[in-house]
Amino acid sequence: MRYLTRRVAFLIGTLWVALTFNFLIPRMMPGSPAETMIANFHGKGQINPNALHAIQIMLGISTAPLWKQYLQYWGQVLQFKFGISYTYFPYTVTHMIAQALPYTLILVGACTVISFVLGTSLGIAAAWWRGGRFDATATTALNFSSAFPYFWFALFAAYWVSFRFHWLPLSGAFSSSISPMFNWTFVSSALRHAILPALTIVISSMGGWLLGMRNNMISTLREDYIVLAEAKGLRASWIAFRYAARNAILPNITGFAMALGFVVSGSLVMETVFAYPGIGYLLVNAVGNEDYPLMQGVFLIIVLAVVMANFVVDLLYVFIDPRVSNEGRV
Amino acid sequence: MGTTENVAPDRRTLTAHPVRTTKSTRHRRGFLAVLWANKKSRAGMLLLGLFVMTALIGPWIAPYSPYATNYAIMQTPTLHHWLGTTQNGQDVLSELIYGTRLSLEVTFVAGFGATAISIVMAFAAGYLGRWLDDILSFITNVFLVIPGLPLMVVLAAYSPVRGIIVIMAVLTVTGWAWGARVLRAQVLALRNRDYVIAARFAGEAPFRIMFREILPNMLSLVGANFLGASLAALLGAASLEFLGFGDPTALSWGSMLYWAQNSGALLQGQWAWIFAPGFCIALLGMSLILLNFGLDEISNPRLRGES
Amino acid sequence: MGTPLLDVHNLTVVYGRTDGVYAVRDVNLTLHHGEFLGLVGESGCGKSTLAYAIARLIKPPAHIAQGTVTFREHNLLGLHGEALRHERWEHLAVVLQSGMNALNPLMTIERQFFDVMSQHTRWPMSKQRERVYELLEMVHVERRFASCYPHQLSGGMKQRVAIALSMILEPELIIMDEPTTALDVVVQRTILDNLMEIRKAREFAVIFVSHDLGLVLEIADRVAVMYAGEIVEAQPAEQLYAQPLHPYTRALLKSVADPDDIRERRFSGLPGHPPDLHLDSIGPGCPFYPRCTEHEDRCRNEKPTLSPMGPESVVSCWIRRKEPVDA
Ligand SMILES: Nc1ncnc2c1ncn2[C@@H]1O[C@H](COP(=O)(O)OP(=O)(O)O)[C@@H](O)[C@H]1O
Ligand SMILES: [Mg+2]
Repeated sequence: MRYLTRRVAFLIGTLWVALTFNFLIPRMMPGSPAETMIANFHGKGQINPNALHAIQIMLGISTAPLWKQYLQYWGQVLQFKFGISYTYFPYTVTHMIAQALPYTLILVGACTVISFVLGTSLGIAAAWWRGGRFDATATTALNFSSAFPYFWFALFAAYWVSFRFHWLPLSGAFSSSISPMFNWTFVSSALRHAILPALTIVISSMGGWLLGMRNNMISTLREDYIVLAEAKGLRASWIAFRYAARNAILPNITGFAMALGFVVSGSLVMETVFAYPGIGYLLVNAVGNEDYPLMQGVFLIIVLAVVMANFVVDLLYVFIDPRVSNEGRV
Repeated sequence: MGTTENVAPDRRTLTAHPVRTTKSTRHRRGFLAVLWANKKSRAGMLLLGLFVMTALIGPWIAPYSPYATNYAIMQTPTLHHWLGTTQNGQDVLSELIYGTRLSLEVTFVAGFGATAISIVMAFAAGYLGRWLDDILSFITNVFLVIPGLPLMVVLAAYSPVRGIIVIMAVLTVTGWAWGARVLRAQVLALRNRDYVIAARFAGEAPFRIMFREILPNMLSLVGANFLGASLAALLGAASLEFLGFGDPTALSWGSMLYWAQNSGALLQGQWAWIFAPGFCIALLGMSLILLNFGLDEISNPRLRGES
Repeated sequence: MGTPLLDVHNLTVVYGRTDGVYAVRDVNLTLHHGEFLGLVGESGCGKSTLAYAIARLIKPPAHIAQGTVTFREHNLLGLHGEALRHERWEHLAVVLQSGMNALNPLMTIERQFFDVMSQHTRWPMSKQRERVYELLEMVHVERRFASCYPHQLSGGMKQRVAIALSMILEPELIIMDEPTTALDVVVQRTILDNLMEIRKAREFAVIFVSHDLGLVLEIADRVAVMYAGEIVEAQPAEQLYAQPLHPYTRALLKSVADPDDIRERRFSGLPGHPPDLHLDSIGPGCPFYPRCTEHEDRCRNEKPTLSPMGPESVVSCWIRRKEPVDA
């Protein structure tokens, strides 16, 4: 119970800090790019007064006292009303996010799960046969590969695979000649477009999981309960998985939770390199176009997702690790 | 590969494990000597030295001025321009050499800044403790949870000016949390050591104890953190600049990549223009990783026996 | 007496490469069926390493540099794969020094019994469950703890569970490495009483490792004393108490007599530290020479060997070998 209370407190605390931060930033900056932006809005067409109001509250274009603005801000946020996008006028920010979200969730989500599973399994293998050939090569190669900028690697992958050999499409989420509908033509096109970005993400993020799992597993293998398991004459595979890996994976679960939360932020760099219309791409474009309402909305959604994912895993921990939920004795 | 978005697992592998560091003479022998003795970290030192040299004497060794725009534009590598020329007709190799300085600066200034914040937070939370610890740990956890690159992007976007200083500041602000957590754990462990307790009973001032008794005994961990933070800053800066949030007129490896991408360098067969800056980033990153191997062995003597 | 259950011959265990730490040096040891052997010595003298080596639990950087271990008349060090797996726990079980950490924190107590039974026997689930209850009862742990996780048990209970665990398959030999050291004196007492009571009911041999000579004298049939990686004396318990041979044993006994020492686990009768076991710091003479109060010149340069001093006693000491034994 105490654990649960603490987790809920952390959830609320984090959300509060992040949202307040988000409230303060536009109000603290010198000059007012937001006001200029709103002036430009009028060149685009009729703007709905409600939406205008929402934008003003979110960005702090107001003469009301700060505490009042703060309350209004919370009111907007709790209703997911972030105003209208400047770039994609007259669409609302919420609409734009809803459009981009599925692409990111499916592609980056799948990649995150795949790379976690692959990396963790290989990490178990590397630790079990530590010092062996696989361990030595994988560990050294991955340690070094973590020094390479992801986008650099992705650019070259795109160049060779798509541009030179035309094996896979170069950019976008589906062929420009079709429109997004749920039929086979669209799905197969979307899949073909997803392969290369997916591969680059999986390859580049797997190493972290592998090394992390390997190191945890190696320290777990030194524990007394592993020695005892061996002395008990248990089968090696049982010891490797039920005793060692099961314990070693615990610290990585938190990392996985964070990664799952980060899924919503998409992969800013990947989506930029492949012009993939997900959340990351949306954020980068919003910033590029000084589309403050969109930027703020996207950032809030991202933070919300990360914090929630973290919270959910904290709750799941109760089932994964019996020590968490009850500290006392029976 | 450093996606920076998944900073969490990557950083973890680059941070030395907080382990027992006893008051040993090893530290007194000097870090450099110990690092030099290890094959991997010696390679790292040499590689890093090479970059530092390039940064210092770049203007003398570069074949051309990187600002001269009087060459044929968009050339693939030739005898005169080993790495080709840009969309404005600048020599890529000269840009690369000149850009070393700024890239190193950003990396180490942000790495240093982040580490400094980590240390201050770790000591304040771990040594001064109690309610301060609760608050600071909460702040640290919040920063750990908030995704790095989107935060960097938003901070950079709201900043009234664009430029290298902003990038350094953003990287520092987003880069300290993991180090603070690791160092705090070590401070907590060290503060209960006999010699620290003895110093406390002897009535030494807290600051003196922190800097004379505790800090010297976690130098290798601090060093590992500095390397980790620097690597994160290197890759973070490259990503930010690549995405166009830097100062495109400042000459660095990241801005070179930005221009190369925006001029469609790859699509025109100018692979060298893209390859070279990325490869330099990777080499500099590797030198940091190699140095860290050496530090790891200092702080974790167990590894020495096993390898 | 018949063939011994366990025969350790010239066993040497080294940490690191050949110039590393010689934690166990040329040890010879025999153990008969049903015998309770105490293995004592100051901490760091190689007791755990010896126990681990016998149980085939030595891991890099440690390795067995020489010697043989014959258990149940076959070469234990030569066993591999399934043969070794079946030898373990069915015939040879262990209770670890830090029993607190010997239980998998993510498995309930009963699951840690079940996995042994399902990988070594064909017992049906009902029988397995019966056996768990029977064993828990034997070590006086209530049934309801069977479905608990280790962190829900006290230290003493965990150690009882570890002992129960070692007896699942009724092995011929159980090696216990400081099974009660981490516990307070009262708990230690009840666990040992319990152990003696169990041993009355069934026959199995025990190697009981401890730094506490007083305790070992009470419960062991025979006591082997280790110093600096070697066995320096072995005698039946009463005999060792009545007539200790090695100066080291005498020093240990003297501190047993002092109640302050027992409480604080120190040896006041014995100033100085046990020697460093690195190859290059081992001198040519008797390893105990620097701390010995009875030494003579020979002790410095010539190493004594373990020699019989009576029907059941051995010692490695120059001084003692000159004296007539009045047994
Ligand atoms: N992992 C290790 N690496 C190097 N030396 C070790 C290691 N473990 C134990 N030793 C050395 O082996 C000797 C015997 O240790 P141990 O068998 O644990 O003694 P005991 O159980 O009698 O306290 C000690 O001197 C110790 O320094
Ligand atoms: Mg021991």
